[in-house]
Amino acid sequence: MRASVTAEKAGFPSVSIVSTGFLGQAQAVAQSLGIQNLSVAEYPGVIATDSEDDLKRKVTEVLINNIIKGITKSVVPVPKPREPEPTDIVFEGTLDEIQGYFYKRLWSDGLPIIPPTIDRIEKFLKYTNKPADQIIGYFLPENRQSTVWNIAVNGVMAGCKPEYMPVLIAIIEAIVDPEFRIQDAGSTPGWEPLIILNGPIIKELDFNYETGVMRVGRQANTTIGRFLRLYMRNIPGLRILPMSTDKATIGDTFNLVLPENEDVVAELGWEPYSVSRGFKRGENVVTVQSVVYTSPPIASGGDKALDHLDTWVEVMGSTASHWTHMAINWWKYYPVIVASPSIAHVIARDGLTKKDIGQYLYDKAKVSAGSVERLALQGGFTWFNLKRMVEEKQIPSIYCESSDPDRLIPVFIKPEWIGVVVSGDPGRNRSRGYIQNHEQGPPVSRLIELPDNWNQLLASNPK
Amino acid sequence: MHEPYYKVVWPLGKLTYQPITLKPRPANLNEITICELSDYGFKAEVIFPIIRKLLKQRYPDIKFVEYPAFGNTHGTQESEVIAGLADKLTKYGCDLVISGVGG
Repeated sequence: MRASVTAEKAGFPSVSIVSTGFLGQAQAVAQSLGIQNLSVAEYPGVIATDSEDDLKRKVTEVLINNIIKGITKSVVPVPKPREPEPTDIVFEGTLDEIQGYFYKRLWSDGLPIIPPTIDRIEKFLKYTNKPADQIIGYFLPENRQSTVWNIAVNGVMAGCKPEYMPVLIAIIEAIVDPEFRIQDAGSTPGWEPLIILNGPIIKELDFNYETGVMRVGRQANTTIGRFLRLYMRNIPGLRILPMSTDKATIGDTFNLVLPENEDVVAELGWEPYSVSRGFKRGENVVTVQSVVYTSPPIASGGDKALDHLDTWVEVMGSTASHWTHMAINWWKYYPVIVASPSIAHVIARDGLTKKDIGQYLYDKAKVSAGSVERLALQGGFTWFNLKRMVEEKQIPSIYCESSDPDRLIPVFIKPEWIGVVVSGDPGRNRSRGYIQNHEQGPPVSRLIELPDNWNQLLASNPK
Repeated sequence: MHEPYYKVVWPLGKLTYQPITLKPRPANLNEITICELSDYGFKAEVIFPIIRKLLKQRYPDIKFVEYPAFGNTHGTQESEVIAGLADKLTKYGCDLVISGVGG
């Protein structure tokens, strides 16, 4: 759709072929890019599940006529809608009335919200040196401006505390980076962002980094996770039906903030995750990346590093292999293994570092080329062919060393792209793999900028 | 007991696009040049050849610039492909774009 809008902006009329389920998204995206009535030609049904005969029949009998209609339709300019100013009071009412008002306009996430009143927002603004009207960036697909003000508004609504504001700003600074591709967060696999947190702010704001770290219950982990999903609805404009800019086929709920257990990391002599992202130990850093699905909870036992690493290869490797075709296609893949402290202790005792873990997983986790090609084909990547991609030098020759479909190829793309985070119950031997969605939502990190009077502000908060 | 009232603000951000007025569509499809754009997915390699054949039957003098000439509009090179699109469409004498496939 963005290609058609670019063509139209350059003065070339266009018609876009879109299957039935994506008509709403197509119109919404075109509208947010300035075109209210883009020509769209409907392909009826679901392309990926039609037989070749059905596909040919639908193109011949239906699609071609829709294309001609789309080409020849008259165009009528539609004015930009009038919307409120940021500080306008848009509604006055009771708590219940506010829930209904916001829900009806698709401004909430279906959970109760805290009313975004001016006095509550101003409390958040005290926790940043940035002015309220500072523009953080612009978000596709809805093409809306992100500001310090609307970060605070959505933080209030999500139930955050005012002192979380520096973390909220850093998160939005991360996802506004074009590298993150937030506009693709409404893609059909239905990925969710994962926020990984490092630095002393973990303890200062009372984040959970131990038992049940990804379970709701601790206010900081929970409400900041909710804030990001709410913000994605309200500013990028990624909403499920009735708006349908979010096309997650099934989808998943938001992730909580995942802080690393930096005490354990220091004991082991390992680097915090943020150091692998280019920051200094002791700096407050958020990293945001996509997670498209997770592995089962991995239970690994034994007093040798390889006891655990071989289990990770087996469980996380096989889990991640179901997404290897996407990784190869986009040539990006940043899975994260979250290890509980007891396992990290065993691995470190045998002299291995986080980098060694990434290398071992890369070297040992393999999948058959035939399986990768079959999943690509079924996912709609009908051009995906490892032999051709090697011949065209898009990917290295290791992906096609023979024509045997049972030949093994790496599950992961690069060892240094495998993240390792220590977190969770120190008293148990479990891990979990978080599988990332290729070029959509690669890890982006930002330093958390604290206000000048941070310590004073924290000290003045009621406990 | 009187229930409290709250005065609340708008949670969205300013829309930043400028509305675009579309150019008129071609009145006659014969003798026009159609440029194809593709995300290389959802059986584009099957759908586009059928479209070419059917349009050619109805409009014998229609011309096509096939989608490989432009690159993948939704791949790793998306931003470069989009950035260079207007120049390429001009270069090929484009009268109309058919883009697909969204599925």
